[in-house]
Amino acid sequence: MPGLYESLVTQSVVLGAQYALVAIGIVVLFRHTGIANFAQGEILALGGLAALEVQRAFAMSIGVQVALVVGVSLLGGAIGAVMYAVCHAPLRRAQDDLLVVVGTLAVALLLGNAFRFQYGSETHSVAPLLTDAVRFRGFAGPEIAVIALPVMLVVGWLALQRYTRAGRRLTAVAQNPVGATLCGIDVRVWFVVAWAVSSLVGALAGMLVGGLIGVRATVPLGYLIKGFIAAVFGGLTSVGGALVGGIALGAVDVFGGYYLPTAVRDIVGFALLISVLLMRPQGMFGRLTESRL
Amino acid sequence: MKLVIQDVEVHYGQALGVSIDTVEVAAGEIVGVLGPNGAGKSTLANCVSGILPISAGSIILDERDISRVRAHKRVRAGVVQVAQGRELFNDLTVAENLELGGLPRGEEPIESRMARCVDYFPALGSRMKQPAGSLSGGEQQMLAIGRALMSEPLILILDEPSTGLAPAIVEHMYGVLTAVRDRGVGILLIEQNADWALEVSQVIHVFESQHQVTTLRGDTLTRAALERAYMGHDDPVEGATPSAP
Amino acid sequence: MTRFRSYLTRASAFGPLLDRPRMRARRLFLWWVLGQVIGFVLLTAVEARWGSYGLSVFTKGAILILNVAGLGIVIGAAGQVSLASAGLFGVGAYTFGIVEPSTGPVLGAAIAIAAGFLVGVIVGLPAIRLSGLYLALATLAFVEAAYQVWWNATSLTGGSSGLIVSAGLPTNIEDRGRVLGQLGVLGVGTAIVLYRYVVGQTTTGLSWRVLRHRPAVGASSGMRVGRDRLLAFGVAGAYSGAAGVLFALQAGFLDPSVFDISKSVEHLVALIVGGTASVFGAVIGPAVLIYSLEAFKGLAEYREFWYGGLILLIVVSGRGSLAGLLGRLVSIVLRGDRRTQAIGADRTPESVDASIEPRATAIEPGRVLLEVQDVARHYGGVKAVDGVSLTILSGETVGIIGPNGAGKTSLLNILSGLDREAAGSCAIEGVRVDHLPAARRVQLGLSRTFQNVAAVEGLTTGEHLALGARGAAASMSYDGREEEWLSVVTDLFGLRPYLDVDTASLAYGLKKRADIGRALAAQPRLLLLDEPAAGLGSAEMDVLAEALVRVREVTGAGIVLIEHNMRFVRRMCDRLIVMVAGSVVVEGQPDVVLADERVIAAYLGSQRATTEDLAIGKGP
Repeated sequence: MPGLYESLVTQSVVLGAQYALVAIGIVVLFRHTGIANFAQGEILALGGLAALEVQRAFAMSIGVQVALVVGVSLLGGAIGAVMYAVCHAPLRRAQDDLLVVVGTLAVALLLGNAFRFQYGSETHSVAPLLTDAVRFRGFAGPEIAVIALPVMLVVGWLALQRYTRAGRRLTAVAQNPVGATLCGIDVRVWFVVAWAVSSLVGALAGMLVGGLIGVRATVPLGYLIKGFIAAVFGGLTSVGGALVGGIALGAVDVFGGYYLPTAVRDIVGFALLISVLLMRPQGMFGRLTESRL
Repeated sequence: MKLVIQDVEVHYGQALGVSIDTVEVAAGEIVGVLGPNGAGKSTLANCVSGILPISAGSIILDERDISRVRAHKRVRAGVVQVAQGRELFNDLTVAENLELGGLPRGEEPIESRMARCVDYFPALGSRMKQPAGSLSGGEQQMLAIGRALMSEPLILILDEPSTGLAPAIVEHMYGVLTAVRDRGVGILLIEQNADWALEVSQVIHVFESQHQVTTLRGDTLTRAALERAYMGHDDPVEGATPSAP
Repeated sequence: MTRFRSYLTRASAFGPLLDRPRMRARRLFLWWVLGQVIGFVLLTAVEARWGSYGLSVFTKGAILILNVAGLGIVIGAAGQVSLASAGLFGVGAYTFGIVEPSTGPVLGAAIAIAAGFLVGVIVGLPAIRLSGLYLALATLAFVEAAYQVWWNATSLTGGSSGLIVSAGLPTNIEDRGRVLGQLGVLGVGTAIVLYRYVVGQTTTGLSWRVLRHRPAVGASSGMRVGRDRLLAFGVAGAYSGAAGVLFALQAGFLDPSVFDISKSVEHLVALIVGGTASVFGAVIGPAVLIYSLEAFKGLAEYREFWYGGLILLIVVSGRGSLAGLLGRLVSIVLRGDRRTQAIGADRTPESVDASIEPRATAIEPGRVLLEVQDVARHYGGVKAVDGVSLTILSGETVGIIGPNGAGKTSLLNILSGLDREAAGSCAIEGVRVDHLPAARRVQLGLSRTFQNVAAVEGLTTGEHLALGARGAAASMSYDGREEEWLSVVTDLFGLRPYLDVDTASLAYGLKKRADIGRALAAQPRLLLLDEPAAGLGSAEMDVLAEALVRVREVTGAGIVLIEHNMRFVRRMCDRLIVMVAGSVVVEGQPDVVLADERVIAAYLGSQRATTEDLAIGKGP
């Protein structure tokens, strides 16, 4: 029988991993483009809904599951590229940077409305990739998937950065777009890549989180905000930081929820956000950059 | 192989950034661009490399008009700039910076190109695994030049490479640049330090207040002529080719 | 009729800011009355055509307009990024609902609006240090936090069960609708007039407009930038608070789910649609949205589709608003868009009028205006300024020259107060100013221009001059002599034909002159000019030089100028100071200094072996 403390810790990790997934998507985009995608929540919903549709149509054999993962990834990447074309490219020379974020909000509205229309506002259940039958140290299958993905992403990302040419090019673009251009790198292409990867991560995340807590057409904006808070904690330019920040925020929410009265609990997260923004805006691991806003 | 910059104008919004009559760079020569601060020299460098768009005129590389070609493609065509701010990737290692420089073009294998960079700049050799941001100013400049050389450029543009560097390092750097010139690269050298520019250049263009005012070559390429041009004297320089204001 | 018109149009050539206060108040009142009349007519028409349903839509529109106008102040006028409107909306609504039973509707409304203002100011506090995405996130956090408070503070707000608001409105639907509509007219009419007044005719409004694009120019003209940022948030909060009051009255019942972040998004959408160019965007945007919703009633579910699509269209077109988009379409239809010629680009500058009287307030020559001792500024290991001392006397023009990276602009930033982290001491006419903010130094008689910036977009030339005058006169009340001096400056720099023109469309030389005019409008005793001749043609440079000489003669001010153009420097300066790598190397008469070996070496690089001419091509 797990003790109270262990139970809170496991809950923190599970919740934190969800926040981390949102945060990683945000950070991947921000790092390379300086843009915050306010439609990230809808992209998560997209991933979950895609899984829902596939499951309604097909039986869940291994082959179908693999195809699902691939398909959701491609879908996510495609949405990212489209968002680049619509929200980022037209405004590269414009003065009004607020419009870039407004553009992402517009996409959020469009997608959200479309999903709500089709799927209503109730929660649909989706069979997770790893079922409850799988257990490991107190974590059930779906939870394991949700925790494993951000860890894999961070490890994979760091490896890609260090050991592949593409990764080094991406880092070059993130660190110094002018320098990258002077090295013959077409930064526009890498912007598209950043958008695509960010959305791909979001869609996959949505699929796995859907397996855990069900899929809703309306992802509450509060969820996205938690992702932002986690990203800020970890540093908006650090992918590894996003994971740490997510877990930290999960712990704050879970432990705070247990020990603090309801009215105060949710304010704690936001109070922390304001403090971090005012005292150390680059978070734990990030670098201070100019945002495109 | 020749780069011809003809009747070019660059604007920042409404304001004129620089107006160039004629600047040519051929293989195996160093062309200097001198002038006081704010004269438009960096603007010139940036429009040749493609970072700034031109609003009039043409830039032609060997019969090919590259005026509208995007900056990263100019690198692939062989026009590479070492920017005033060096624009290194501070969190990447020296080796990684060099490698990235070599990606866009080049026939020799990367390893041998890197070896030659280390030949030119031995200080880099012992720092290959250090992040670029931890190097001293002089080493960073050498890395920036090395990175540019990695792509085996036809035309190398240098924007005030000696700024803030100790004289011994500057001497070493110019030694490398003349060696590079002798291998057939054409160099467009933007400088404030006229001394070195005089040493190594075959032609010097003087810019002031966004305009090309004088071109010195051959017998007129003297320090006295330069001093007169810089210090605001109105009397014309004998034998120099004044450009129309 | 002409008297009426002269009431409505401004009297001062330099913009409404310098009009007499009674004039402004009278004008304000007339516009308000006009607005109320128009509103009443509209209201009656709406009721006649659509009955009480129309009235309720009308009131909904008024609520949205109030919210959007508040957002327009924060985003449009002051250039801050804020997503806080939904939270401030809730503050107004809930405050009203909670206090109204005890205080009655009128006092309750006043308290609710005041609460909106106060909370707005608090929300704006992060804006002093944050900007961009970080500020947006902070305001987002506020909305969420407020949202949680509405849900969870059940004793106050009723939480999910809601809060009932009765407020003594008539129970009959038609009468109730009419009262609400009239309140809407009152609210919106007042809000719009106030908006136009504050943004266009007060120092704070001018400060906001400067803040949006060029906060450094604002600070250097004496504007209190931090305070004005907070005021913008506060006023926006007050507007949203008023919207909340109206909402509470109309709905009769407060349910927390209304005040979530998507409400802020709706306001933002309406603002984008209407545009931030003028207050009427805050009317047009909501009007378009609401009308489209009503016109296509059956498609209510597609509302967000419609919003999103509209915004995307605006975004993709690269224009900032619906008006901008339509404008672009119109210009495409009318045969492509020709690049508009900058105004004043083809005119040769007029020469300066020679007959200007010396000022009665002119400073006697030889007075010490600026004393700088051992000023130093280090960034990490770099010494930008390394122990500089100098003295400036009235009536003299001192040039500071030196090669790249010598620290000249850094020194100017330290002297003008934009950089306050330097060591050493500065005194303006004996008063120590080391850690005084830029705005305070303006009041001591210091004024400066900027290197590349020149003019502030969105302000006319006349408003630039008013900006300079107002900033310095912050501690003084209006007196007619301001206008006289501004006239002198206007004519000195040939700006009279361009007083009403937005500086964004002026030619570069004129923009520079507008910036210098702004600095001079403050009647400075000490004028700091950063590369005033950069980018000017030789004719323009002559006009500038002449004008500066006249200013010096007429006011006795001391001028410090940083320059690279040696011809200009020779002509203008009595004395030259040469800086190299952060220190002063040589000081003296221009001819002497410019022939000095060290100076030549500094610019051209060190002399190596001989002083003979070096032949070309001899390399290692």
